Amino acid sequence: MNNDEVDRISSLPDDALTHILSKLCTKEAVQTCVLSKRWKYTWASVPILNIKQMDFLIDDCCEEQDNNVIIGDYSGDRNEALRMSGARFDRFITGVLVKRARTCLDRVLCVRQFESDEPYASIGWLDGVALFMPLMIHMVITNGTGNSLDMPELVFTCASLQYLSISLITKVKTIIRSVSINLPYLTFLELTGVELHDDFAQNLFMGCPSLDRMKLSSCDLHFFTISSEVLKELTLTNCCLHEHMQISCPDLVSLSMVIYLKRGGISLNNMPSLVNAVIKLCQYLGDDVPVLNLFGGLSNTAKLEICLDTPMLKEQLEKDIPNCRNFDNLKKLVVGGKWNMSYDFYLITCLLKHSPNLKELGLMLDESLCLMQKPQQEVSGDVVFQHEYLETVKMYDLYGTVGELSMELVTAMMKTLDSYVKKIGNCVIF
Amino acid sequence: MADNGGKKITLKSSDGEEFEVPEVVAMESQTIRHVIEDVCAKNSIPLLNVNSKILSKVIEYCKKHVAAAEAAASKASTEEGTAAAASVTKPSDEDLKTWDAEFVKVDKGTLFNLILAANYLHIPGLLDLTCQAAADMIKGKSAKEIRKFFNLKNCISPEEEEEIRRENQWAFEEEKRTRAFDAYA
Repeated sequence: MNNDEVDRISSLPDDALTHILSKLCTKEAVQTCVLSKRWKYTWASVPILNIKQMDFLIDDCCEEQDNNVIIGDYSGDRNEALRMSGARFDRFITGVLVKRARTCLDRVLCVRQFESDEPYASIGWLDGVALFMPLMIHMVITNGTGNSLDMPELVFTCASLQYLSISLITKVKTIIRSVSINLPYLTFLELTGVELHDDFAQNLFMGCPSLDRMKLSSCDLHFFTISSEVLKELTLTNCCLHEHMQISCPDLVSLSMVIYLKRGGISLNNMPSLVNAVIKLCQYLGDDVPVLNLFGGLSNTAKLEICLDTPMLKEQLEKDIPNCRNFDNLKKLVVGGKWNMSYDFYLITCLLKHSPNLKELGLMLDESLCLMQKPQQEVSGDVVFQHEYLETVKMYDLYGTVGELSMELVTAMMKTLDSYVKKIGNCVIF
Repeated sequence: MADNGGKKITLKSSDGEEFEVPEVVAMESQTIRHVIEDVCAKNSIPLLNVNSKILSKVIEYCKKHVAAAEAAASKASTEEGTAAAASVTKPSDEDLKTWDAEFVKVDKGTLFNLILAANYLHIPGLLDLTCQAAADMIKGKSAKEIRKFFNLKNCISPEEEEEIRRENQWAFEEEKRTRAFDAYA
């Protein structure tokens, strides 16, 4: 008997069939309801929602060619096509939420895009999704309308959630106001493109007692403290700080910050568990002089990278040096910034002084700045401190271009290093 | 793979064939793992729902994945989890993916039997892999094409089908568009 001639798929048990359907996007899964009696309701138990606006786009370039030639009827008006696909998305997700079985969801993935000529951006269906108690929600919403997005609130009290990622790509950042937050099992939170105020931050850490990892990208932060007993990993990427921020997380193992300081600075308090830290600070032009209290919180790190966008930031960080205790665990240090490092090695010298066990030093150099001033001022004869031994020294171009560093600069840096380091194992130039 | 005299166990297929495998390979199946750990099995475990052809494929999968995991673990420990380790394990991840892709290139009947076996023996990786392969066969096909491909017994009439489409109109909107074109063509 030929294996291929029998209807084997319909005789699979329900859970196997729903498992197969869970690998399809929800639109295709639902559309199996017409295949036969067996398939009429199978889609309704699939515990996954995978609904992207693109699924509903009828694009005249990529329409399936069955037997008919299907010509798109939108005459190249892409905005119109997107708007209609958005409307289809909304009707579809509403239909699914009404018709699906009353069983819990596992994973939810939704991608929705609002065009500039749409009057408002509304994602009310998110409340409906939250009612199905999913374990994971991942949403990407593009809001081109110019109006702020209305953020439904039930998701913040969805007690089943373990993983929540909301990306809002918007002209006007969405403010997530003080909402009641109760997510007892949430271990991962990612927010992109939002504006957060202090009330939200406080509610967040109180309401998420299991929060392990948090990522904020392209956010405007108007809050004063990040304080959590349980947080292990904190990533702030391209965020703008509008207030002086105190970070106090005794369990934090990994910290990564790429931050624009608009007002105020940063204090790292009470971070005994911190092992890896990447701190890149940029500054908005202005009168504000940010206070940087970083070294107190970095003393147990094994890997540290500091990058400062302006000489003023470097000066501010140097003011923090008295708070330096020994970095006994520090094995790898990378320092970069926009100042003449061959001439002004003070910050790095201080760090070397406090890092007796350092193996690798990386320097991220701005070629143009380093050679601008008069070439190496003779290092003062009374150099008090010399670091014993560095296994490796690496030199990078600050902007990441490989092969950019001139021989002139490398020579100048090597000469400086010679004064402050007794012995260097090997030197790698990128 | 280190076959260093680790404990072996015998799996017996529904059609009576016996397969001797290292215990760690057999334990890729959560079902078998429970039998070994909780029930304290004797040396031979009968699997009444899996025939020899499918069982040998399942064992092949489990052997490969146990070996890959062991290789990755030993590399990670020697490289101290540095960046070097990350770039070394990536190629073997790719190799495993390629192997998996080849593994599911089987006729539909075998594929569905593998799904049933992975389900019954509770082998999550294999269930995922085989269900994905089945889903890939459904993707992009119209209802008509799916029915043909899987030889579905079509127990609904065109009127019933029309009824279901109407009930779930929100799911078939662009197809309606397509049909509108049929009218013009």
